[in-house]
Amino acid sequence: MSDQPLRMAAGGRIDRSRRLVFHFDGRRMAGHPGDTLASALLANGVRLVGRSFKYHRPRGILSAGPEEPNALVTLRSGARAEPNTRATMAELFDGLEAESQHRWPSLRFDAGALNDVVSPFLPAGFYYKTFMGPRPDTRVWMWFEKHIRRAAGLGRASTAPDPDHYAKAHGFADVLVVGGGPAGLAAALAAADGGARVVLAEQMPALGGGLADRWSADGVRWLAEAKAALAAHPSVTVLTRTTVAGWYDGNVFSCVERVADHLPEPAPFQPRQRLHILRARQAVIATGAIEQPLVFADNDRPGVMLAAAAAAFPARYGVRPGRRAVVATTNDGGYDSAFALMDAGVELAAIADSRADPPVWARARAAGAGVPVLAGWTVLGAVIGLADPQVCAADLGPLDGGGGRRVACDLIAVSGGWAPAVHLLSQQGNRPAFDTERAAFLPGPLAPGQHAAGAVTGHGDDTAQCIAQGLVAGAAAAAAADAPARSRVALRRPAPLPAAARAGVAIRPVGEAPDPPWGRIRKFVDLQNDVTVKDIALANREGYASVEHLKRYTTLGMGTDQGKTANPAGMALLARQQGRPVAALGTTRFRPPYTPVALGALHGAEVGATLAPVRRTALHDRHLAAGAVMAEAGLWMRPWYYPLAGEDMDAAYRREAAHVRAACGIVDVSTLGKIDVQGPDAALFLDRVYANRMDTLKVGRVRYGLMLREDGFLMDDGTVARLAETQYFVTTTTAQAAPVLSMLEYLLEVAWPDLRVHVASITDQWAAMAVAGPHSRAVLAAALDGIDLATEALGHMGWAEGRCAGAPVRVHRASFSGELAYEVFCPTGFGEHVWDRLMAAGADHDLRPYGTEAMATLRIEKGHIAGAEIDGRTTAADVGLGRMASARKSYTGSVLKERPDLVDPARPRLVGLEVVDASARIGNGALLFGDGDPCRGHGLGHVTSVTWSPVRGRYIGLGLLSGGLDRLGERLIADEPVRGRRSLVTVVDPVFYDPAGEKLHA
Amino acid sequence: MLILHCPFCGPRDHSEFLYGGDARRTRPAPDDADGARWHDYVFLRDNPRGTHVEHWQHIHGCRAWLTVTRDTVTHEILAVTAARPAAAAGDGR
Amino acid sequence: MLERASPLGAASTPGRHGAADGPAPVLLHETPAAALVQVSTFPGTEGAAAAALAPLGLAPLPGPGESREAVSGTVVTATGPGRWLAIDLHDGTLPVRLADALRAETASVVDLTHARARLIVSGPRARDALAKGVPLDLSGEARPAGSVATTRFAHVTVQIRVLDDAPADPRFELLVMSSFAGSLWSDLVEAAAEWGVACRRHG
Repeated sequence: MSDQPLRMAAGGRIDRSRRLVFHFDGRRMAGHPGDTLASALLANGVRLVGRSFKYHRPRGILSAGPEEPNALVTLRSGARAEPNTRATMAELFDGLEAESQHRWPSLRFDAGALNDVVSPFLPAGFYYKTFMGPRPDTRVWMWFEKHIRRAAGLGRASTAPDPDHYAKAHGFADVLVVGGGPAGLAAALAAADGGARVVLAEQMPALGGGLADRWSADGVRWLAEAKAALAAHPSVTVLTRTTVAGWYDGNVFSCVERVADHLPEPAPFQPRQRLHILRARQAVIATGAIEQPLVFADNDRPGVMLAAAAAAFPARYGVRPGRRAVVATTNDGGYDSAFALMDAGVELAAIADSRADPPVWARARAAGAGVPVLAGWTVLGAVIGLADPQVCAADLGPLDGGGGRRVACDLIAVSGGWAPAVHLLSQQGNRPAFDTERAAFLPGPLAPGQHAAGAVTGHGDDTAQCIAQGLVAGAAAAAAADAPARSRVALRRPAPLPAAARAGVAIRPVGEAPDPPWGRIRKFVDLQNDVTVKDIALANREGYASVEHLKRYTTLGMGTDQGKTANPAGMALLARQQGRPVAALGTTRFRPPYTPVALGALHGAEVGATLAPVRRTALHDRHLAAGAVMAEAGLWMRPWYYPLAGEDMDAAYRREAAHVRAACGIVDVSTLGKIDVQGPDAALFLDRVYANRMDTLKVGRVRYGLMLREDGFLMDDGTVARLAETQYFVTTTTAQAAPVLSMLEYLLEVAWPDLRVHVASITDQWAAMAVAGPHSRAVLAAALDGIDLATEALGHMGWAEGRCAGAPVRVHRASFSGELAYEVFCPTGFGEHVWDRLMAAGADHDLRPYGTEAMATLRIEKGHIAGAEIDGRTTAADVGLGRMASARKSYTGSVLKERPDLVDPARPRLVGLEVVDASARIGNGALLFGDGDPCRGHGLGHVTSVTWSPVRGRYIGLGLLSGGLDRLGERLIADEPVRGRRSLVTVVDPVFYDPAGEKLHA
Repeated sequence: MLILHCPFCGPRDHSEFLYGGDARRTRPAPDDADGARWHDYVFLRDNPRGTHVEHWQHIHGCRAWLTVTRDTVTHEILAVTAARPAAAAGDGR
Repeated sequence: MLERASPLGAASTPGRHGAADGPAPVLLHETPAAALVQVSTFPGTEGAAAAALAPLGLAPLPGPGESREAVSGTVVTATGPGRWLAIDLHDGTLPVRLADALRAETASVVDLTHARARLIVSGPRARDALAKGVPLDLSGEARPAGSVATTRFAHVTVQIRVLDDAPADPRFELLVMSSFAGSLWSDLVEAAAEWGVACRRHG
């Protein structure tokens, strides 16, 4: 029993000295480095590799490249399992594991094959018309939909974390050449010779394209010389295993480099894949053409292959794709493939040429080998064995009807013509034009910056012509790129290939082959999505007559292969249904990516903990050392609470907040936005921007400021300190720092360019700590030098400068908590130093750190609004600050805030809320209803902020309530339908603590 | 990826910029009290199929506000100038 | 003299990271500047500003994308229309001296010494490491020594000045907002890990 029965004794570009072991569906087999999974399977005589999407039909390997629609396997296992991997692209490595998909219990005996039996009931769009229940009830459909969904899909993805990492790379080139076949290599050579910085991207592991699959000695030589010249040139970057997946605006390309896919595991620190975001001034599209299959009965059987692919297996991998072949072609290229198979030792049983007049050279060679050539004939049907669902014979017959013949074979190699790979150009809006001589869509007129060469322009039959085109395109691209004069490295161009002995594009498309003399005929057009000729006829009959509708109704071309081997036939059939020429139909627009892209390549390093950047304050390490639990606030990390042993969050923040009021606390407020505002017109500018007056603010003072949006709603609140005649220090909330800065810059550059004001972010220049509580003055007195902290010297809302153990500090006397409090600002680099000094000085006064949770408790008890109350839907009047808005000046938002709906007294207004039952708990977002009213609809308002209050010994909150404080004393229901909780609350004044402000002004 | 040629920084990816909307609106003077004019400025926009003049700020660059002429169908960028009138006129930098 | 703490937190560890064979192809060093000062002129006042700065050796002011080094060693970079950033590695009095030299009607002066971290990225693979996050052409031709650009590394704004544009061993100065320093450091270490990076830091 020989292993690898279909491996040739010699030939192919594999390393026969090394043996690789792999498993497919648990069966152990051997291959060689250089194999793909597909070539290794064929070498081992494995033909059946999968089951189709809808009908679960047995499928084999159709192609040798990325256009493969059938041979989709799950590669690897565990966390690295990759569903829907094309076996023709999976490079073999030692220990590779693969499983077929979409079958149960096994590939040979799949229960899903039942779908094939009932397939007359499952045509295109069947679920639009069936499984419906009586209107308007959709429950019947929803029940069926669950099951239909489970039956759909191909492979199954792993949900384990990806152990690999991925990288991105921003790239820049004068000329990008897409495709490393003869045309692309020539274009790269010419472009480099023209002084351009060139990137050549080839999706396969090796350069050469179709040239590498042919036997000619000249071709081999040319290829070797071209590769060597490009490798030696310093301005050329050659990327293999790299698919140009998308072409975007701005001539930006996404190129996915499969760095380590061909290895069992990436090397340490090696990325699995690299996404190049490449900006090229000029692009040469040399993507070649994709051979198309023929449409005939049971054309989806294992053993039906594209002819050039069948010929590639011997050339690339030293594998015979079968023992006895029938070749069916519509063009000259089919003969090249047929004779290549013959030279590789495959017996040729017959060649069917759809054309009445096959070329003389082909007839002669076939006759010499005793191979019958059937002119005007094609394949009518693929015949499979009873026991084994693989091709065992082909029914051949004349296109124009009449008797046929059955020919025994195990391989039907078909060539239905070549479709230029116009996908990237189409992504950029290029409209392909139909060429009747070639019966194919060629690229439409190219836009500036775009060049095309080779088989993609329809000249795949003539390699010398492809090279010539590439040279021209590369030179033109380099010239158009206007590359700066580079030190020109002499490029050794390969000696040209001799002119082709013969070339010809004569083709007779078959469209749909006549029926064989059987019952139950299915002719497939899109193999991956199981779309048949009948589906196309159905779509057309039902009025889905445009190519866009055809695609979406039948799902033709919507599989992971984007219909690479289906679209041309599908459109030709639609055209014939409508009695119109194909050219009149047009094509659908392709979208990126050209082939599937791993999500990992798209996110690169931006995943998990590094999804977004992290901003840390100067005191970050101090918080960690103090045991703080940190929380995200936008991009910032802030201390949330500092639990003592055994405390949970609730216990910690309640203790922290109570302690601030009883003694004193210190909190890091460095994340607040800080903006430097300077210039002769600074006062005027600020007065235009804030709702309250700023022009009266004196040097040495700080003022609370309200900023409105242009539409009259609240935008942000903060403080303004006047440092000098023409210099101000503005603070904003953490969340609004960036939008406020951009808005101020917009006003200065666009709206009021005559004002002489500069604004600059200084958020990172200053660390800020608030020291709050009855002992705060004592702590500062012990820690700071050069500031008189007596209330006569530094009153509420004043500022002063001094030193803290040598570091310059500025102190603002302002309070968010309602206690006597000071904000200490120092340059960031001295932040830890100042914190340490304050903590040391505070030791005698029981100073303890507190976090953002406790900070919220304190401000809610004091009725101060924060981001939850400034949510973009509230006005100053809504939150009780209407009187702060000056009536004596114009400012941003002053006009539109007077719109009738914004001054309507029925608008919800700020109130305090307190639970009736001291043991009850309420949450943010609770809806408020009258006590006794049904809890339906949006109610009278909602709760915006909540906390457990040490001052009140129970849960309190702030909320927006229709009627506002007119409802003082009323009982309401706070309903939380999502949490499933309901409590009674009383409407109270939003200032729960020290309404007279005695603590503040101590 | 739109490539915007910032007059100060050169050609850059659009991801370095913040979009600022229609640049053709006329902002009422700061002391203009006419509600209708403010309403039109804040809320009314044309939605042209074709050339659109709009503001972008180069936030990951020079932070200048720019006036960009873009074709909304083809995404071609037809012109980019500084939004500030004095700078656009080439007066100093 | 009060010691300034590095904006890099304790989590930014020095030493060798990533691939470990051979000499590190990427070097990442934090070396703070003694002073960083932003100067902004008004339309039409650039001439007056240059005149006021001439006695300090800081005129003429560089044009877009350029930097200029004064005899004193202070480097002035052009960062935006009418806006420059002066960098001095040794003289901490620069903010005060510039504020004294420029009147409010001529220019605004903002001390940003503590607002930025300064990272030097160098070595044979420096460009490849930076290319993982910087959407600019960092080749020597596109950005010669002395050129300045403000751009991003991934999502973090950085100002990049080319100190040395040698093809084989370039050097780049990166200025990043202090609060982002630790995040950028770990992004750069991860980017360079593929080849190996040797890290040194201040404090």
